[in-house]
Amino acid sequence: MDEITGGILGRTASRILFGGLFVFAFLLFVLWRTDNPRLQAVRAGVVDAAAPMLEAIAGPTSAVAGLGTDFRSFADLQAENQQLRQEVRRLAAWRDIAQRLEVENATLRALNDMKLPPRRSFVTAEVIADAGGPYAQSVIVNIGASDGVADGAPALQENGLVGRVVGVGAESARILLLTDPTSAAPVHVGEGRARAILQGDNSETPSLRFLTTGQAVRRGDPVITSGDGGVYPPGILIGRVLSADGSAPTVRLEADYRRLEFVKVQHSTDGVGDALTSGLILRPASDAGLSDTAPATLPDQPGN
Amino acid sequence: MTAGPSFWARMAPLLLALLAILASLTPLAGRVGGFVGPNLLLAVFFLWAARREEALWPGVVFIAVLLYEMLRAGPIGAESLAMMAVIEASRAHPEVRRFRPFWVEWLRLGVAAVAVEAIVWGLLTATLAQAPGWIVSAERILATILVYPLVAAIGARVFGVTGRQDQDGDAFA
Repeated sequence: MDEITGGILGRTASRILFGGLFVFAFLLFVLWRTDNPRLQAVRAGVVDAAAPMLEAIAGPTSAVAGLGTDFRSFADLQAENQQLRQEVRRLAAWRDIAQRLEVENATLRALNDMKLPPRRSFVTAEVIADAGGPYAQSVIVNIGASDGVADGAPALQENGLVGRVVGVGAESARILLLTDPTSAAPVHVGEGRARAILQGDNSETPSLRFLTTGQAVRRGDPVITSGDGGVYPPGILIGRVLSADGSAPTVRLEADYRRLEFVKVQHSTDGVGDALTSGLILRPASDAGLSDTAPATLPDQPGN
Repeated sequence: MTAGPSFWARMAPLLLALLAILASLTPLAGRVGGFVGPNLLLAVFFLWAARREEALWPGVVFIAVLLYEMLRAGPIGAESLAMMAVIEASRAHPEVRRFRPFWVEWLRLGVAAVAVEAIVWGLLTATLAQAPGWIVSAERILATILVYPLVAAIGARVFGVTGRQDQDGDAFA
């Protein structure tokens, strides 16, 4: 009899517990849906607490994952070496042009009595967790508010824009990637600077929506941030138009999302300014066809 | 009077769930445009609900899934709600599971995976939030079904969670 009574009481307690947790989970969902700031703070705190463990695991697993890539690279070493030498020569030529243009730009601005915006500074962070899934595309990095990172700060790889910070803890931060369905970046496309919105869709090639009517885009046109709405600072390279067919052209991102190990996040003390002073110089339109030849305006062929 | 499961027997599903969370978050490769991955937490908790339901506290499911939702980007509370409801409905009485072959359990897991995705989709759609596309959900369901035999093998080998009633007791009992 005592066993039966104990069993009934145990099941009743279990059902009450289940009911209570069910209601609590529903309340949490409502708070999330209403963007409750306290819930976001709790979320950032949980990520902060888990960050050391995620960081400890990320190192060895990234090394293991890199073994396969390194093995394939080793097999193509000679060809890759030759290709890299050519690329270095070509980039050295562009570096010289970029430096001359920067000086010329500063001179012209000074003549027009324009104040140059301050150079941006960045903090480099390691990606410690891939927090993506069916709902969102995001990563967690090992820097936070204590490192000068603020909500909304842009995150870049060496090649181009990766996304922006959407949640900051003391020692960690979450970066929403451009490929996330909720990511919408105002951009300029091509030389005509056609306005559009780069909309993520969980694929490697996000699409351009709400393209300014009457403006044609071509394959290879550069896509840069426009600065509209203050979502991203202007002038940051995002990628190039991959396919201009159909109603929504797609974009090939400059950032390599498959090798997202380190990102640069803008320091929160910087103001919004011209990204051309941050080091991400766009290649001129003549290079949009992905030519490997050096530019004709160079006085000399650069050496190694 | 038979003693219930030990404390460690009750903590075993939470331990395996925490490992599953870490595995899901590890940045092995870019997921952009790639495979979403299975719902490992569902596979783990379904295994216990189907074979050792007496060792599975509702609180364990809630804690693990909520922790995963906090770390992962996306809605908070929706999957906790769905998983708790589905796992509770999947609990198998000891007398029933004695005669249940693996393929029946596997089929029930498939139904549970569909139910979780459907509940979450319904909640998000009803509140006008962004819900995952049906292709992404289908990928996740398929991946969960495919990974279940591996999870069941790990559960049986490491934690002693077998479906056979004559092999009583978990590894931690």
